[in-house]
Amino acid sequence: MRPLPIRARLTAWYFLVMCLAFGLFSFLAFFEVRGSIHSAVDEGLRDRAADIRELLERQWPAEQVKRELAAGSSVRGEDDILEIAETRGEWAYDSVSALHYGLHLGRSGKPDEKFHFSTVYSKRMPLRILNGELRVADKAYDVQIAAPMDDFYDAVNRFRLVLLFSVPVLVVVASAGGYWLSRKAVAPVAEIARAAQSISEHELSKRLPILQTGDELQSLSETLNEMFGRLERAFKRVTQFTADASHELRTPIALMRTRTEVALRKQRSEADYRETIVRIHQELERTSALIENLMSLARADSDNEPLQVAPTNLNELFLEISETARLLAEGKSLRYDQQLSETPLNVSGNAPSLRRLFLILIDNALKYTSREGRISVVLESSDGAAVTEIRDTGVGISTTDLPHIFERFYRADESRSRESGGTGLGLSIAKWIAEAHQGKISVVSKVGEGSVFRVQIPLSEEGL
Amino acid sequence: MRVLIVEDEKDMAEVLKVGLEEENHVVSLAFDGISGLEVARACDFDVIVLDIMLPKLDGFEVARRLRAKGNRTPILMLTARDTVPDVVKGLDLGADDYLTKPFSFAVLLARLRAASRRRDGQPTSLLRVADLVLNQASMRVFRGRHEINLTATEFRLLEFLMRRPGVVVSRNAIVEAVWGFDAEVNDNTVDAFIRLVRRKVDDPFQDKLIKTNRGVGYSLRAGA
Repeated sequence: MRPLPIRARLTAWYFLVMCLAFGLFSFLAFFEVRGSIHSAVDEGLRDRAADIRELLERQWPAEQVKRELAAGSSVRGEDDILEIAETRGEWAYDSVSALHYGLHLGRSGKPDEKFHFSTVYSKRMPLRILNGELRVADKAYDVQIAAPMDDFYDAVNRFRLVLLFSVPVLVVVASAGGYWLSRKAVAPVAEIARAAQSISEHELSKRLPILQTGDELQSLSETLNEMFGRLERAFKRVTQFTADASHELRTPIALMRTRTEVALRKQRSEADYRETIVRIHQELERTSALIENLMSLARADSDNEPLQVAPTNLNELFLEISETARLLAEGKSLRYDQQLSETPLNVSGNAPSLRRLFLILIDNALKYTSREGRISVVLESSDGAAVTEIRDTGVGISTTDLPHIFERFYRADESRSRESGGTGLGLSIAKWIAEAHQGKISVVSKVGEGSVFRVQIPLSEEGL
Repeated sequence: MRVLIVEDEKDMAEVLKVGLEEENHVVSLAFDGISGLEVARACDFDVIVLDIMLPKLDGFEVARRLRAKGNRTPILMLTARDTVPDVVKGLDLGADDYLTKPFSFAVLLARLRAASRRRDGQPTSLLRVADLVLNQASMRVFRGRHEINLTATEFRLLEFLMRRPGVVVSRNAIVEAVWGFDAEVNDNTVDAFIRLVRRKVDDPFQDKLIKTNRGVGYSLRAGA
């Protein structure tokens, strides 16, 4: 089942809470009003009982007391509903009204002079009745005094009627207000949803309108906008990478195609064909290397296959690398030397990847260093990390290029690095390998003096 | 045709130069935007082949600056980027055509012919003066029903004259168009090649098309 919209749910809750609150209020108000009327009336009855006790304390003869009681009633202009009976039956008095309502005095049987109140209906008249025993001197009197409650009860009933009619109306009005409020509160959400819907992958630069309300919805739209910003940047990186990759792949393929088509346009000598095939082969090798690098980076991006790490001794790794590095250096008449830490440095790493990382840096150093130059590698430990420095005496990197050299396809000098066989991806891969080992890679360089690439990889626990 | 190729990929530029020269074009090379712009301004080319991603000055900017100075040489852009905005930008900045790398060499040749034809207001790749017909695509020449066999240099010379029927061209202009801008060729050589072409094109026929304008140069036109 489709869940109700927030607006409806908020309103339903509002309605429920309102019903409960108003119901409770009505209930309490009704009983409070009735209770306070009763206590006021009871107080009057107690006063009356006190008057009667005072009268009895005068120790007058019974007839005089009766007369006095009757007179008192007439003086007040209304008739007491009053019964008094001497417990031993010496005398009893019933006021006219008491007779009218047919009250029957029963023995209270409670000699503690406590008054008991009750409500009875007699001849459709609600009566509040006080029952009690008065003790004066050695005599005891049963007393029953009543007060008519019709006026009070009329008022209470009117109050109840008002509550019964007004509470549902109030609840409905309040719920409607709640609905309106919730709609008002939810409206910006609908707007955010509409705006978010219009942001597709082609319009990632679009943003949600920021409501300057300073509330949760503003922070929600700001948070969403930040998220869109991150998505946009990630998307741009991917698009840029794809565009760069396709450009880089097209360039050698265009060259091979044109070379082939030109060669095939007419009959040529065997030497010419041979030359063409050799050139195409070189181009193919370069393209294979490029594809290899692109695949590495694509794998790095997908993060599906974490590097398989094992304890790796960097000293041994460098002894291995040095053979390749020396061969490469000799081919360019460059000097290569390495200086390894005397204690073995162990890191937890993936040996083939680390070899690749260092060979990329050494190859890079060789590429940018002219004849008679020198490449030196230093491996030492510092602050719990294995630090490798690859120094060259090459052309150096200008300050404008320096911040970008680890970016994919960034080339300090477009034409030259392609001639030397670069793909523009080596340093990006080196950076990725270093970071995959929780390491860092950095570079210091001065134009005309050379560059120092520094790789820090944390030593493994047993190496510390 | 005189073609300027501005392409930073040296291997690519060299292959194109060889290929175009084998097709009887005269090719100059430039490897970056600045020198490309300089060469294009200094010499009169029939077509400029312009890469977009160039060091120093990109192809868009080269095209824009050329057009800003009133240069109307057709520009064919070569690009490894084929996004719509790139293509639109290139064409809007004054390029006449574009080709995406990798491209077919045959298509490149056809587009070069088409570009230069459009500038001359010539509808097809057939050049015709009286009964002399030169096919730029197949590189064959006919006078009436007779096919005329020309060497590469002779062909370039005749093509140059036929593209400007009735216009008197100087010996110097002929040298630039036929041998290239930096060629060391003296006027006697030009005269010698004119004689060679005349022997094949005019001598066997009644109507002599190649005219000598004394002290100025040569022209090709029908009639006296």
